[in-house]
Amino acid sequence: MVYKCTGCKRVVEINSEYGGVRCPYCGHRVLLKERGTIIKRVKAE
Amino acid sequence: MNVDVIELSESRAQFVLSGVSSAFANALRRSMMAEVPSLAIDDVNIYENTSVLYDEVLALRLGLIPLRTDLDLYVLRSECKCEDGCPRCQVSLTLSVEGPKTVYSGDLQSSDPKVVPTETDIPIVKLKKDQKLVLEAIARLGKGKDHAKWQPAVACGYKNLPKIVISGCDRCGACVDVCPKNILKLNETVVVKDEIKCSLCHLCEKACESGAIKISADPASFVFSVEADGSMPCMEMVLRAADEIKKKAKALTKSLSGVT
Repeated sequence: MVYKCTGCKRVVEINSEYGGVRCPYCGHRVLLKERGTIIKRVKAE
Repeated sequence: MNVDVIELSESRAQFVLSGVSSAFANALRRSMMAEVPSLAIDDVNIYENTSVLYDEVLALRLGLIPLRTDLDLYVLRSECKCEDGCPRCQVSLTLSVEGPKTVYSGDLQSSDPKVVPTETDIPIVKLKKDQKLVLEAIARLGKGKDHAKWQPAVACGYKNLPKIVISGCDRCGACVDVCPKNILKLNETVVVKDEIKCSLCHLCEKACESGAIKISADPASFVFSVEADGSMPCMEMVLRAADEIKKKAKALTKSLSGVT
């Protein structure tokens, strides 16, 4: 799963072996999940 | 049956329906609320949404925007012969905007120029700099009994026609003071200015010590107040509601004719 670091804005991958969530470039701990490229169909109700 | 129109505009109507039972009056009210079809956004294909609202919340807000409906051009999806939607049963509206901007219903671009939001200034979402919204909304015909977004009558109610009889008035003026609707006026005797506005609260009756004022309601006459969301004129909505009752009555007659 690809995430985006809110600190350095770089795309990062989470290492499942490492217990915590942290950007490997800047060490920032807040990562955002990027929206997928597929078109999302939502019911308007 | 007799109908006296008191007020009629595109979005509001008030009329007196007399010579009918309360069951029929209620059937007409329910038919206006639940049986007359109208267009509303049903599905939303979201290509990009970086706004602060979740896709589902955004879709809900879009669904509640009233759309101008021509019932002669579109059919209900259940009555359409197609499988995946065709121009006869659905219409597409697109939205592509980038912040900073407040997105309004008027920003929706319809594939059918006749199907547009009734109001162009309904706010959908506020976008900040670099936030983007790209989507395609699919509008379909539906009925109010399935979802409130398909309800063309936003307010529809009735009351019995009030009857105010004044005899033996001693001009004390107590009834004029207590009337919350201000429909009584003290001249040589108490006169009623607008009988239809009476809410049948009976406060004047209680205030009148001499018992000169009597309030009653005509059980066979009803004052209807109807407000439409703008998807169709009020007159058309009432007529279509009556048509729906007729259709149901015919269907009932047909099904009962087979019973021996």
